[in-house]
Amino acid sequence: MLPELLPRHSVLFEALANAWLAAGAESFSIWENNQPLQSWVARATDIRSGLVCPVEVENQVIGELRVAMLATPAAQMQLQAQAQLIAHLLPIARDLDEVTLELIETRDQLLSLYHLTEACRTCFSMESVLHILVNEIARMAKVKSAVIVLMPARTPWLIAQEPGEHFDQPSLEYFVQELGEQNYLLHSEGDAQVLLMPIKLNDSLAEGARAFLGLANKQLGGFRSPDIKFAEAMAAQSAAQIENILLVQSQVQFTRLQTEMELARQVQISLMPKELPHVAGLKISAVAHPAMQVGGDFYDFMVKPNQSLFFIVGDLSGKGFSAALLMSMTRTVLRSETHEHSTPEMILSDANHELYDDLNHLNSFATLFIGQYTPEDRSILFANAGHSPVIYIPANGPARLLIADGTPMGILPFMQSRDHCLRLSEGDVLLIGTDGLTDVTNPTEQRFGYEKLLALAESLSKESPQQMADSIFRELALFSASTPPEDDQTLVILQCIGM
Amino acid sequence: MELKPSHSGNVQILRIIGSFDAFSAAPARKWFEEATLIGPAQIVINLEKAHFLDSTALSVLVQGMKRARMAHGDVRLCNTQQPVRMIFELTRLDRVFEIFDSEEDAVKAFSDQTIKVS
Repeated sequence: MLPELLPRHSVLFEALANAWLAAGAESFSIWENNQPLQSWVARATDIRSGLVCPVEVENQVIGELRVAMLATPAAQMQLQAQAQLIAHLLPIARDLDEVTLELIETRDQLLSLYHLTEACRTCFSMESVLHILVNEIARMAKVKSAVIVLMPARTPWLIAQEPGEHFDQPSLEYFVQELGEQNYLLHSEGDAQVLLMPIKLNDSLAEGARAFLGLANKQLGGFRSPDIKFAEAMAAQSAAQIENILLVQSQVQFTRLQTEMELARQVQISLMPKELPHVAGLKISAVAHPAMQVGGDFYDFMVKPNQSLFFIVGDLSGKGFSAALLMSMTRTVLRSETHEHSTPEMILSDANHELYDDLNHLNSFATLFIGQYTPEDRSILFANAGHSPVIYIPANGPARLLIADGTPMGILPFMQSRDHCLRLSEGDVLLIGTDGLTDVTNPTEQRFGYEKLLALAESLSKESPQQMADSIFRELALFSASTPPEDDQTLVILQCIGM
Repeated sequence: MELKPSHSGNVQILRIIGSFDAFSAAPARKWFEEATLIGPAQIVINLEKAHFLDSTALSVLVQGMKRARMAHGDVRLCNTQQPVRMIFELTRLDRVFEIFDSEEDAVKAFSDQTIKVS
């Protein structure tokens, strides 16, 4: 203890020695284990002779003060008082040194944490963040190796260790098993010691992923209670950094999905006819409201040279970009299969022939209503492949659903739907919607349903098709009370008017 | 939506509870994939407590049915409540799926078929 104290308090000891020498002493010296540590000599003398006073700390003699001079009782008392004072100051100085060292270490750790956070802030890849973490942790914990293992639920483990390849996969697997649900695990094997600490991740971000921190072989001594506390703090810090990256990744994924959805919406909107056809004897309205979760609704009109009007309303199962792409493919095939002399049944059959394999492969299907209006006789020939709602409202009669006679396209290799004919009279209305209309929910999760739509369509049938569509969408909005629609809503209305 | 799988002999049964739609279709799709891995995939879907199905849910059932038929089995439905039954009628998927009034009848139909075949 004395050897450490002497150099740091050399000025004070020098002053003490000078005082003794001025008082006539021949020498003043400090001893430990009968060896002089330092001596101040006025003139040549035997520094071992004269007054001797032990320095006792906690009942143990840790050294001596020696003064070579006449051994007077006053000098003896003075030397004893100085020895006691030094003995009293020594433990205080030692404690102060320890506290100072701890403070320096804490300051270093705080600085390292700051650097760690700064480094992680600019880093968005999980691998890089894990490497930054283990680097800093290995340095701060003064261990031979540190490892962080991130175990996602569905993808391979991410292992970052520093320095070198201290841990191999089988030993890490063994440690994970041993750690189980414990707060920490101290594993010793010969001189090697490993401290394992779970990194507790927020469930909603982690999606089943687990992680742990491993520290191997502390450079000085084994792992003690402060090391475990430090590892706990580092595991918490690692959890925060890993969660940050998971959050960024989920945000990126969300933004990517949003962009994809917006793209799908644009595809969908761009494929809808820009203008409504003008056909003798018909008033037409067509409205499509793509939902946020884009579906595969579409409608199309084609006027052939013989003035017959083909109109198609379809709904591809599924949502998102894939549904929008399938919709565009289906629309293209239907367009190419619609010839002047085709009938709706023939178009459905030919299109199914073209599309069945693709739809089957992609686990999708399309409900389709294809109508062919002939102005000469005001007839509509139609075929319905599992599509609803289709509502016919005669000018003088109740509204009724025209139920499909065949399955949607893509379910079976052949189509069951046949041609059916409607002869229109002035005032008759044909309304073709998609299930996004009847599936509208209100805040209590009730659906608008077919009955309400039938009654509403009947009550509005004297309005123009555009007014009807506006009123229907207004009623749906009132019913949903701002609950966002889950599916596309498409509505095509044809009304027979006087020629 | 909640899925409750069970079985009766070789017949795998899935009870679907709640709203079966695009947002809840993934676990049902996964169940079908596993249930049709080994043939004969004899599957009964009990829809007693399914109050709604959208087009994505229908495509999951159709996909399951196609996989089951490829694995020398089939998917049969039972206990459809009125709104759900209406969805099958309007889309004409009632022509693709056999729909039974009770789970027992649907399960029994598989054993009757087995006896018939043998």
